[in-house]
Amino acid sequence: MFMRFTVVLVVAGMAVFGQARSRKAHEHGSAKVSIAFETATGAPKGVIAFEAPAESVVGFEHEAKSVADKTKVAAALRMLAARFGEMVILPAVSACKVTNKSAKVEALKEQHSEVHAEFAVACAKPLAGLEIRFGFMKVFPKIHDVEVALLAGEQQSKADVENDKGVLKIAK
Amino acid sequence: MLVLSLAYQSLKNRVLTTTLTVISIGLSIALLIGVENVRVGARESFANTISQTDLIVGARGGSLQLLLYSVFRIGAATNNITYQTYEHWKNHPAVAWTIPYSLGDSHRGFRVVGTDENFYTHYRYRRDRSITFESGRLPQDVFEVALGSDVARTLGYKTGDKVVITHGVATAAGRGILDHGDKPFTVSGVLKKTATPVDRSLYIQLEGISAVHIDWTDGAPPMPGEEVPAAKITKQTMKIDQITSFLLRSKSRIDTLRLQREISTYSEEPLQAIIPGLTLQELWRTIGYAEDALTVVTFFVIIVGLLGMLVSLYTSLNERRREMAILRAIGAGPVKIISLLVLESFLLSIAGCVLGVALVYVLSVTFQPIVEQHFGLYVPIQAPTMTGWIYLGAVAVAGLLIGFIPAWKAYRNTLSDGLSVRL
Repeated sequence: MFMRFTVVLVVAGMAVFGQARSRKAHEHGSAKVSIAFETATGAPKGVIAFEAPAESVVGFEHEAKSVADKTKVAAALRMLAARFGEMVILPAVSACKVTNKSAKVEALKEQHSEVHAEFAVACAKPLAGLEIRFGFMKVFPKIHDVEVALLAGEQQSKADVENDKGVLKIAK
Repeated sequence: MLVLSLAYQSLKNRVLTTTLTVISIGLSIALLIGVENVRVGARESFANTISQTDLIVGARGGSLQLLLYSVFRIGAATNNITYQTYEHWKNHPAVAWTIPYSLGDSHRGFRVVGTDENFYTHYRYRRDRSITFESGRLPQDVFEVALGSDVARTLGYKTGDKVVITHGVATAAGRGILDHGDKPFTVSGVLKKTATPVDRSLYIQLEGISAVHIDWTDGAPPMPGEEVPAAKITKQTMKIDQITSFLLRSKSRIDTLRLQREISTYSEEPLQAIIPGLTLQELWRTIGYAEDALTVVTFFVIIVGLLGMLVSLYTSLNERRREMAILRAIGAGPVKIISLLVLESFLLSIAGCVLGVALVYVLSVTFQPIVEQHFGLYVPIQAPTMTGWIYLGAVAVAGLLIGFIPAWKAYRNTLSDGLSVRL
């Protein structure tokens, strides 16, 4: 029984490992969101980290040197900060307030750059048993594939959100 | 109300056929709900193989590989972590506790894990269950070993027995290529069964791993006469240079994300930190296709159960032609005849659902501890899930709809029988 399970795990591991290796760290159109709440009960407080290729948010990945490019970067980051609540839609009944803590473009190797942003979340009511929905494409139409990770108390779960479809259930 | 009473009496009149049909549907329902419960239980048990651990940290490589060797004791690490790096993270202000693992040796097919007291204090599985001892105590001396319950049971070891560990991973059938025969370990205790991979390992102190390799050079055993006798080795004299991976609990979940980022970008050594729950979910998604196949099979079982009910009702119609003709003769209209048959079918499917759910509960209560003990599968005893209720509703509706087939036939029969001379 254990041997069979072991073989299944190894084969599955190889399959997923293969998938993981083939997934590019920097893939245009994709983004990564990590949500962490200390607890989902009471008045939850947490953080949300967002990272995406700059091309999907700003429209280009070269270093912004011209005034026009710098204006574009500033406008995109302002929009990200202002409309993040529409991208990660926390349950309305929890009355959560999302505040932008940082948002910047970071240069990577090989002419690539990424947008990194962090948000603080403070909710007035519990999140337990509710759902988080998503609307990335409404704000940045190029972001269509997002890997969302959620840590809430002892809950550790993830969702692959494609074309804004997908929800993350917060455990009771 | 009259139709309901008639339907009940009619079913009661054919008690054997009714009972067999209800049992057939009941078994199908029990299988369907049972598979659903097992599916939920399997997913929960798998996800809770390790609990209350925020990060697993190892040398940079594949996240699945790190999970497999650190939690399931499958495969091997590509690189180790220096003990200095481990201590850096262990003493990080955002870290609550760490559990170090040093892997690489084995004993008759079971992995040997070098760890420290934190493993016995902080390791959790299935939400909040901790490691406890069936007998004896945790290893305190360099050459003491605690056994996982499967190891003790399979090899017939008990507290006080001597165990020789093998360099590298040996086969279950026998010894490995090189044994640490000059430095045997004494069994200090046997862990209680956890029904997780914990049961299939031997646990020694980190210093124990260093001790058995103290006189080895470049992966080779000492030359004759150059061995360091076990009697000369104490815990205090042992220096730990490296470990394979470590489990980490942060002081707050919010710190977990920050720590993961910091560890992954640690400039002193290439490391990776994975969140076990997320990697387990990824792994489950791959092996979880089997559950879909199982669900498909049970759906076919339900269909067969419902078809059995249809056949039973349909074939009984011939015997009931006189009954139908009498009902027509005393003024029962087509609606009443059809309602009677549809209601019978509906009652049969409802009774089947009730029997099926009852069966699931009886079997769950009876076999839950046995299944958990032997297969590590915790099947929850709970009200049917939303999916379960949907299944039950679908079967009840299917029973109702199927009833229309014999009902229509019965109605047609009553017309022709009414015109014929003989019944």
